[in-house]
Amino acid sequence: QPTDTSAAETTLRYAHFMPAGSWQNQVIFEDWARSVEQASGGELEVKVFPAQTLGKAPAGYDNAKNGIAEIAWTVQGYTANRFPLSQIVELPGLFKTAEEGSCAFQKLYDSGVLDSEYEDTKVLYVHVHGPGHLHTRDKAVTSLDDLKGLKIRRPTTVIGKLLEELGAEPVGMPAPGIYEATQRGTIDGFMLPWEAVKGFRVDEVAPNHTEIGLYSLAFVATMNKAAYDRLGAAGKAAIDANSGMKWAVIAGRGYDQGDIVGREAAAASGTIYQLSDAQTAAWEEAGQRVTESYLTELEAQGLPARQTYADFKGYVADCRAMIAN
Amino acid sequence: MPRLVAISVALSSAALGFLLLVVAASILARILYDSSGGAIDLLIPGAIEAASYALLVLIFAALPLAAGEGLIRVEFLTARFPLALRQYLDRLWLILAGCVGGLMAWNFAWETLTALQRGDATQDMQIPLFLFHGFITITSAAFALAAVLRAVTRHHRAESS
Amino acid sequence: MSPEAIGFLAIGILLLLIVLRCPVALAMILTGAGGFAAIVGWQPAVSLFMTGPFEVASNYSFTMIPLFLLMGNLAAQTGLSKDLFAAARRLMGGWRGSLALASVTASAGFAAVSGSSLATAATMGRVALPEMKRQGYSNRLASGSLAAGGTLGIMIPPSIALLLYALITEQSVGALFLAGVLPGLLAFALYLLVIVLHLKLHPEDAGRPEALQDEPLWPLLWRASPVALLFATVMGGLYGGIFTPTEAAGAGAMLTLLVALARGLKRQAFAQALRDTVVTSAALFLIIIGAEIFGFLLSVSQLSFGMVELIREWGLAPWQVLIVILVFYVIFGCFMDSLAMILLTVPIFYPLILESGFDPVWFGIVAVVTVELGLITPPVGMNLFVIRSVAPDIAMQDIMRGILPFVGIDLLRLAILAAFPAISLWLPKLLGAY
Ligand code: NA
Ligand code: NA
Repeated sequence: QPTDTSAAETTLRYAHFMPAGSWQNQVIFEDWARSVEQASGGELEVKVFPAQTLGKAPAGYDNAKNGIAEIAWTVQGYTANRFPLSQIVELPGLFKTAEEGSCAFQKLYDSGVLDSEYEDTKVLYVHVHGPGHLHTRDKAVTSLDDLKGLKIRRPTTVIGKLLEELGAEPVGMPAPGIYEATQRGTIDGFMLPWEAVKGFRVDEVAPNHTEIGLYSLAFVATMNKAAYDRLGAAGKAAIDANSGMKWAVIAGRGYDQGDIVGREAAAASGTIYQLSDAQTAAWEEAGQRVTESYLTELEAQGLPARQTYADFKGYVADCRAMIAN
Repeated sequence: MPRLVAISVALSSAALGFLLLVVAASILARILYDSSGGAIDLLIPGAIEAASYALLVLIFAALPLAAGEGLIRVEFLTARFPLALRQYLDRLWLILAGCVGGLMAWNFAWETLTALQRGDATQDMQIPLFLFHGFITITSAAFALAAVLRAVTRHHRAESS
Repeated sequence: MSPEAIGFLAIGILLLLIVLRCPVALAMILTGAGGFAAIVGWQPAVSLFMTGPFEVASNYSFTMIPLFLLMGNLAAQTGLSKDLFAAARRLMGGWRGSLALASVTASAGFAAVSGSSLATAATMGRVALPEMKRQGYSNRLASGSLAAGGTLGIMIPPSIALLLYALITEQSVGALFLAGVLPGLLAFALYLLVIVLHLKLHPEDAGRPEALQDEPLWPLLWRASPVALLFATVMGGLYGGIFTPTEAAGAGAMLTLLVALARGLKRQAFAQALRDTVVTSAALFLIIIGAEIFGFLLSVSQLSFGMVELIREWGLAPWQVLIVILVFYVIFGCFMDSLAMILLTVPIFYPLILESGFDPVWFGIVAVVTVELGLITPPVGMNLFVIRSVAPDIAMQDIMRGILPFVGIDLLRLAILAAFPAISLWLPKLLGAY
């Protein structure tokens, strides 16, 4: 039941870019807000601002840093080179579900190796979305030959390189533009997890789905440092109690649930294709090559990329075992 | 002042020309690519980002120009105000506009340093972001300068918008 | 003070500043950042001056604005406006008031390549006003028909106003452009009707009747025909599923440039088109940036949210909500700059419109009609100022008197469009764009 916040001492504004009617708004944001309000015993009121009403998506992290919103949820990849170690979790083939990926990402964050990337805000938790698949307009893709020459919207630069390796033509564009671009044939397809396929309604324009699970995106929910420091003891405790693993896993599970719903919808309106083992191996091999080149690039900048990559793989295994039990 | 405006027009027009070229070229490249079955590959993978940042340059380059010709006002009651009051108000607004420009320049100057230090880059083409932040710093400062100069030197005929 | 109270106070101060001749963009920036500071804090407010402008100016969708503006400016520089007027004049030759009828007709044609009302009014004003004066037309008829004809610029696609509405509300640009076609043609027909009726009452306003020209019609139509080609490219490409909206704008501008080059565009004229485009773009983007910063204040003050609550509490019926909004728009439009009005009010009213169950595309058309109206209603009608700046010897009083019949017919059209959403929605639905 909702806490009475009319006498709350402090209002925290939580900005995100998902629509007000999305499942994220409820499961990730409103539920979190109520949980914090309750835990603070009336000190805090948390107001959720969906759909970029408090800042455009790419500015999310900076807006939390500057206090335009006290809390923001955003995608690390919006600014290239800013979160290079965090974006290791986006590399191909690292996990099977958003839950295990989010759990592992949070463990990686808790280990402290990513701290320098987030030093100007107070991170609440980090998570990922489920594995992204390939969706095409006219041509079903079941082999590398099918992919050759197709113009595919790339979700990240790393996946752009992967697509190039596989003979496709990567195209960069913001995700909300995918629907129109696919409809008009500006692109032949795109890569998205099932959840987002439904969210952007892009199964209407791309009926062919190739389930390969090649990439993910890193997300962070983060808070303005001064806003946190200003809170009283009860407020700080409420934030702390709603930070870390618990909410990383809730967000991950939400995305997995979204993937199930999205996959069903896509299967009903289109066709889902699986790759043969031989084809899968070819894709994975290309995935290894771009992973290698990304890690090498980071190492050259003096970042502990290989160690981080290995650690993350270990955390995924731990989390997988933990979830199985 | 006239030189500042001339530079402003030239830069902004160049960015507009570039924007037009990028958008037109990417349509043409796509038509060629599709009609040749992928044989003619002139596709520009970062075209959308290139267009977006061309717009950024176009708008901010035009700021000093906008300090003079681009400030849309609404002429409503002021026609009946005494001339001295109108001039006083116009100066006040120009100086405040200058302050806003100065504040923007100040903000972006720090952001330029941060972006330079961190090596932030654009998502697709990996262009260093400090270049854009630095550019905005300069044009915002030029806007502030243009506005303040206008406030100080403007002739004694209150202009209509 | 509660955030909502600060929000209302900021709107009041904003209007006060605008009345005191403060540049509209500056007024929005000052009150937006000030109100935000009062609710959230000074430091965050200062950082609005960074993220706001950057995100707005690097937004890919907004590249359509300079591209469509360039298209219209190139069309003007290459003389398409003159050719349109010449062809329309030949077509209407022999009728009473043929020059006024031709002005409105040519304005409608020019609107098909120009996204801006001010540009349409200024361009056609320069072409047609001197001719009407030479033929002894009264100042009020001449200036009235041109100021009114200019408003067609933002109803007949392409349209910057419809574009902004689409971007704010995340509706399809294509659907809104198509929805504007019939209301635009309706406006065109009604303006012709106004001129005919006006001349029944005041035949003397048309000066000496113009003799039928014996110039052959076809070459004149041929000279003006690129307008049809350009319109077909933009709209056809958009609905044929070939172009995204930005691509349509780019293709339109590029094709206009090619047409202009083929017709011997001078370097000077090209530079002028570029200059006109960047000045207008910068002016417009200053307002967009101002609206963005003011939008932050509207968000944190939760003003729209409060208004939705209020409507629920009062139990207002949807049509009552609509009437309140339209009356507000018509009154506000008398004083306010047109595009600033869209940028400021749509974020506030849009939730109310959705809450009341109205169609968002149809409301876009209705809102833009009220903006059109605002362009020609005294005391602050930008098109009236534009006409006056083209012909400084015409008294403002004459312009205002001349525009009144058109204001009347526009109010009637607004009522028709509000009562019959099908007029706006039929075409986009027919073509499957919506
Ligand atoms: Na138009
Ligand atoms: Na008006």
